[in-house]
Amino acid sequence: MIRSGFSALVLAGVLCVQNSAMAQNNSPGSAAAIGATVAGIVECGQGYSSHELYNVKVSVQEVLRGPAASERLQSAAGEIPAPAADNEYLLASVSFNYKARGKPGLCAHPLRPAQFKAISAAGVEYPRPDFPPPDPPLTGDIKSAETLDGWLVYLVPRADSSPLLYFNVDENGGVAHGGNLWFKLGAE
Amino acid sequence: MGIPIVGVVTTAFSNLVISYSGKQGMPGERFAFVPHPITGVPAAKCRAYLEGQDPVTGKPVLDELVSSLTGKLTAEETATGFIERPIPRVVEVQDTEENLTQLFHNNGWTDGMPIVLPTEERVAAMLKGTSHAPDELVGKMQASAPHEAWSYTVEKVAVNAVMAGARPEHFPVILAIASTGAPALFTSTTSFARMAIINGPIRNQIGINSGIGALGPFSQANAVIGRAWTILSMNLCGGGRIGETYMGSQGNNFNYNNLTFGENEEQLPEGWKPLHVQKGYEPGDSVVSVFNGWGITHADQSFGKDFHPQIPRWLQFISPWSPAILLLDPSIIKQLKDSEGFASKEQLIDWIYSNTKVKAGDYWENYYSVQNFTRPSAEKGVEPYASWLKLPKDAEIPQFSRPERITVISVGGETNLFWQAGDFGYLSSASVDDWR
Repeated sequence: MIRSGFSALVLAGVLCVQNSAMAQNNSPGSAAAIGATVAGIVECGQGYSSHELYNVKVSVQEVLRGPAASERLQSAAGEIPAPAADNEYLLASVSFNYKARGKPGLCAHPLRPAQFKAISAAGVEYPRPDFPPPDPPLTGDIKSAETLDGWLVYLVPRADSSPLLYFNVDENGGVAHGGNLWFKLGAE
Repeated sequence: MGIPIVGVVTTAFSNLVISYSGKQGMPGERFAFVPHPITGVPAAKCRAYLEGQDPVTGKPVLDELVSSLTGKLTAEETATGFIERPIPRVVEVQDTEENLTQLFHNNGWTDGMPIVLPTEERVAAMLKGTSHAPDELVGKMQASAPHEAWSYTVEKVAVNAVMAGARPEHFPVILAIASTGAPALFTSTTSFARMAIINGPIRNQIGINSGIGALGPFSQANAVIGRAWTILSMNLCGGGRIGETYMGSQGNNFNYNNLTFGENEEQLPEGWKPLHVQKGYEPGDSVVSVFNGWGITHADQSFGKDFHPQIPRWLQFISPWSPAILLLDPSIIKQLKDSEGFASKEQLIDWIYSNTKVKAGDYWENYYSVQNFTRPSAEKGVEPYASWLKLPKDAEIPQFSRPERITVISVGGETNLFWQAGDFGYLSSASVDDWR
C-alpha cells in the first residue's frame, strides 16, 4: 500500500559532527560562560576488549589573567619568565566531575592539563607554559563519583579578551573520544 | 610542528584516510597510496610498491613523496578556524512511502531491509515509551578508534527505534543499549559482531525470548531491539560506511540482529546467578549487557556420563587472545550441577580456566592477535604475559588469561542438551530501569 505525503523525521546522521555539544547547545559559538557547567561523556577502553562510557560535568570556575595571574603563579612557582611581548598569563580554575553510567564502572580517568586547550575564536591554539600552575593543578587519576578541581595555565595575547577553552580527552591520540566541550575564558 | 609529512597508506584505506583527515579539519591532507595488503608480503615486493605507481593517482609513488614533502602549502592546507556541518532535526519531504523508503536505503541509513518511516507522529509515539526528555543526552558512539565520536539524544535514538520496527515498550531497552556507547557495527578489518543479553523483569514484561528459539527470529522484542542497535550504529556515529567507517573484510551476519536475547533466569538452578547479578545488580533490576566478539559454534559432542571433560577440547577452537562465552541450555546446566557438582557459574568458570590449556610455543608463535597485541604487553612486563613469555615452548598456560574472560549464560527451552560457545567478551552493562 502506498501512502503519500509523509513528512519524514530524518536522522540525517551523516551530517552530524561532534554533536554532544549540539545536544546542549555547546559549541565554539555558544561556549559555556564562566561558572556554567557542561555535561559530556568520555570513554574508557578501546572497543576491542573493553568499552565503557562515563558522564563528566565540567565548569570553569574562575579566570585570572595579566598581573593577577602572574602574581599567583610567582607565589606558587617562584620566578617565572616574563610573558612574551603583547602576551600575558591566564589562569583558569576548572571543576571536573566524573561518574560511571553503568557496570563495571571501575575505570579511572587520567585527567591531564593537555586535555584542555585554550584557543582564539579563530581557532589559533595558545601555548601552555612549562612551569606548574598554582596548587592544586588540574591533574590526577579520577575515579567514578569523584570531583577534581584545579588550575590550568596558558599564555594568551593581551588583545584577546575572550579566548575559548575546550576539553577533549583525545589529546594523546591513542583513542579518539571526540565531542569537545567548550568554555569561555572571558566575560564576552 | 613545521616538519613536512606525507602519509603512505595502502589502497584498502584510501577512502578512510581521505574522509578521516577531512573530518579532522585537514581536507586535502597529503597521502601516497600503495597496493594492499602488505601483511605477509616479502620486502622485495613492498619495495617494488614504493618504486611503482600509486594505484589511486597513477603517479610514481616516490615522485609523489618528494613533491608532497617539498611542495608549497596551499591556501586550503594553511586555513584555520572551525568547519561547521549542519545538523537538521527534521527533513520536510513529500513523496510516496515507497520512494521515501528508498531514500533511506540510498543514503545508507538502513540495514537493507524494509523500515518503518520515522514520521514525527511515530517518533512522538516512541518517545512515550520513556519518561526522559527528547533532548536528553543518551550516549556517545564511534565506529571504532580513531573515528569521530558522536553524541545523541533520546529523540535521535527514537528515530532509529521507529525505523527498526520497535514499539514504545521496547524503547527503554534500546535506550539502555545506546547508553553503553558500544556500536553494533564496530569497525576493524576483521568482522566484529556484538551480543546483547537482557536480564530481569523487563524480559517478561515485553516478551523477550529466553527459551525455545531465543536466538532465532521468533520474538518481536528480540528482533527489533537487536535491529535497532544496528540501525542506530549507522546513523548515530556515521558507522557502517563501507570503505570509511566499516572495513570488516567479510562482514558478519550477526550484525543484522546482534545476538539479542534474554537469559533464561527462571531455569537457573539454585546457586547459579543470572548475569546481571554477577555484574553487581539486584535480581529485580532490568539490565542489558553488551558483548564483543566474532562468532559462535555448537558442540557436536558424543557425551558420556560427564559433560565437563569435553569442554576444554571443544573451546580450543577459540583464539587464546579471545575471551569465551558458553551459551548453555538450562538442561545442561542442571546436569552440570546435579550430576557433576558445579554449584555455581563461578565454579564452572574456574574449572574451565584451570583446565583449558595451550602450549606456550603455540601461544606465542601461531596467533596473529597474540603477536600483535599481547606480546608487546609481555615485553613491557605486564603479567601474567611476562611470565608466560619466559616459559619453555612445551609448557602449558591457560588458554583464557583470566577467569573473568569466560562467561556462562543460560539460554534455551530444554528441548535438547544443546550448547554453543563463541569468542565473545563482556564489555559493560546498563540499567534498563534508568531509561523507563
